[in-house]
Amino acid sequence: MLGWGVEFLRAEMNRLLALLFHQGVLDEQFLQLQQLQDESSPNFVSEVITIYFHESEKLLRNLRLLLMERELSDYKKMEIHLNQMMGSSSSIGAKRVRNVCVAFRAASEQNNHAGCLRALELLEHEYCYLKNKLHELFQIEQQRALASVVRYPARHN
Amino acid sequence: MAIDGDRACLLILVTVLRKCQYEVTGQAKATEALEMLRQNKDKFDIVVTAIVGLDMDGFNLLEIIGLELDIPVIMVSASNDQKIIMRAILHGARDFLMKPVRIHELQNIWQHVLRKQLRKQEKSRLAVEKPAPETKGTKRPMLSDEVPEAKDENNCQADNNGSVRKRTRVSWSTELHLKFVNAVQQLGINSAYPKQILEIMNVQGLTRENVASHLQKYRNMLKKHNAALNQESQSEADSSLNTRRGRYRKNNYNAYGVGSARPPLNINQANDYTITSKMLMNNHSGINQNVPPGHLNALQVYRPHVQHVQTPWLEHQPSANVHPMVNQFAAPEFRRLSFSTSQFGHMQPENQIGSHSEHFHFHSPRIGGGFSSRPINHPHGFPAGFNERPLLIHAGVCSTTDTCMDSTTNHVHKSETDRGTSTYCQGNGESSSSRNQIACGESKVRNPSSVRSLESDNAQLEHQLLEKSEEGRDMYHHKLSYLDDELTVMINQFNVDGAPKL
Repeated sequence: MLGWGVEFLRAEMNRLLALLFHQGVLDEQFLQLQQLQDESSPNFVSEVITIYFHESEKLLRNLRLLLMERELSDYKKMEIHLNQMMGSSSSIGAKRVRNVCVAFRAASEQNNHAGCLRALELLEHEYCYLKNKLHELFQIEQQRALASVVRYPARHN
Repeated sequence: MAIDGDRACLLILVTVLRKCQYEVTGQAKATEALEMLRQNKDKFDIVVTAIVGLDMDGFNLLEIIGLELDIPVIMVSASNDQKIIMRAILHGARDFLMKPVRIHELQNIWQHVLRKQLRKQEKSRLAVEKPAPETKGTKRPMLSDEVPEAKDENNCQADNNGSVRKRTRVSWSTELHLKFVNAVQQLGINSAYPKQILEIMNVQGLTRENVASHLQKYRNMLKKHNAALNQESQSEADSSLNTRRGRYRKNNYNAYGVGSARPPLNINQANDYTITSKMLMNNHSGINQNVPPGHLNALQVYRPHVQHVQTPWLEHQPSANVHPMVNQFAAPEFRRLSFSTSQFGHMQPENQIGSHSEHFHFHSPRIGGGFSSRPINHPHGFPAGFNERPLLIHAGVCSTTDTCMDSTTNHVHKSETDRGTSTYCQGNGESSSSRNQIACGESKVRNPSSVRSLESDNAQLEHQLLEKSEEGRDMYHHKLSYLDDELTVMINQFNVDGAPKL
């Protein structure tokens, strides 16, 4: 990717973003996050997303543990975790993840164990997808930052 | 002071607040936050905190901060569960925001601080004015005659009952009023006598005179409430403008008195919202309505905006996208228009997005936005740091559609949209185009004609977008700069043809 023009990379990034929006993986809250990034907080978005990943993984692990106890799943605790997951996902702009959380919450309110399990699987799936795509996004962003600094004389940018 | 157990949310909250020019300290742990607050009471003007996910109960925290430290608290939560919201208010929260917190909701929290300071001034002024303590505690502070006040600082009923007798005035806290309303309902509104109410309420230190005067005020308020209701149900059939005005009237009357958790007499859904907004106001001496003319001069300036500010944060519910105004218009194009009007009227960027996403994806639009009977947007004085960027979102969303996916660079690129933003603001005759675009919207809303022009603006814009899909987006930006020229034309068309066929 080195040597690819800044414009090209920006187009790539936008394409990926547009795809994610179209799929409903991200929503406008993500754009708001991007706006918050400026000179005073240059890596804001990546910081927030990294923290989000850490926290979410912890939450997902806890949820899985809670659901694995076959005798009596602690739905109250699950709801607390879910609440947190919902909050952070919606603050990030992860629309699909949040929607799955909503469904999960509904299942746990009905103490529906099978439903919760399914919802958890779906949640993990959505989360993984989001994580991959966001990683991709960051990679492109890094490349772009590099490309804008480094000048390759042979290329016309 | 921002408190949230979720570090990602905390970081976002802190950054947004900093962006709004607030000085923020973020804390993930509630206990540590309390320590800090206790040690430096004066340094903190307001607290924004989450409810769940803390190391202590959010409501407990809320009470402690409110009662002990007398600092306004705003609650934030991921869920829109009504019970939680009610609890938060009963425990004394000044406001309730839903996650994701939006920038313009946080922009206005300074008004809570201002409100509190003004109230303090009033109190001290009144305390000076009153010549001798009255033995009958029938009089309420003057301010609260118009604006029912329930200071959440001293509202712990059990505590204060002893002191109520010694004090010269009775403050009708939410709990007290709740009891009162329950008692009245038990007896029947028309046959409720103060003595009986007093017995049912069974509150120490409350005299019959207190109850009598409160009952009188309550009855008056109800009368006005009903009158306003009748007026409103008549005017609901009219255009959105009238409804907005009708609702303003209703809001005016409703600000007084009915602070019960159970909405006593209401009929339609809109009332529910106003009741809970009243609760907020009852708790916190509503800034918006019935502010007596002598006081709070600065705030009077904001009043024109209040009319168009209606239902509170309950609209946050993504599922409850039944905006009261929408119900009235059957035809889909009208419905979209009314959405747009309300959105433009309140000038929330997200709502614009809402309308667009509805337009393109046919999802249910999210009426996000914390425009409400809560703090009003101040058109001119807002800290300069906040620039036009909100409209960026608006444009950015266009890139979500299929049609727009091709030439996406335009929209995500900031400078162009900023240009678009500023033309937009300028196009509408706003001199201070450098201010946030909420300012543009709000001041526009002042004249009905401009609201209607906004309706037609939006209608026309959407019309454009539908017709020419790809060019439509570019056209949109161009059109924005021509708004001024075509305003009258559009208004006429709109009046003549009715809503454009979308």
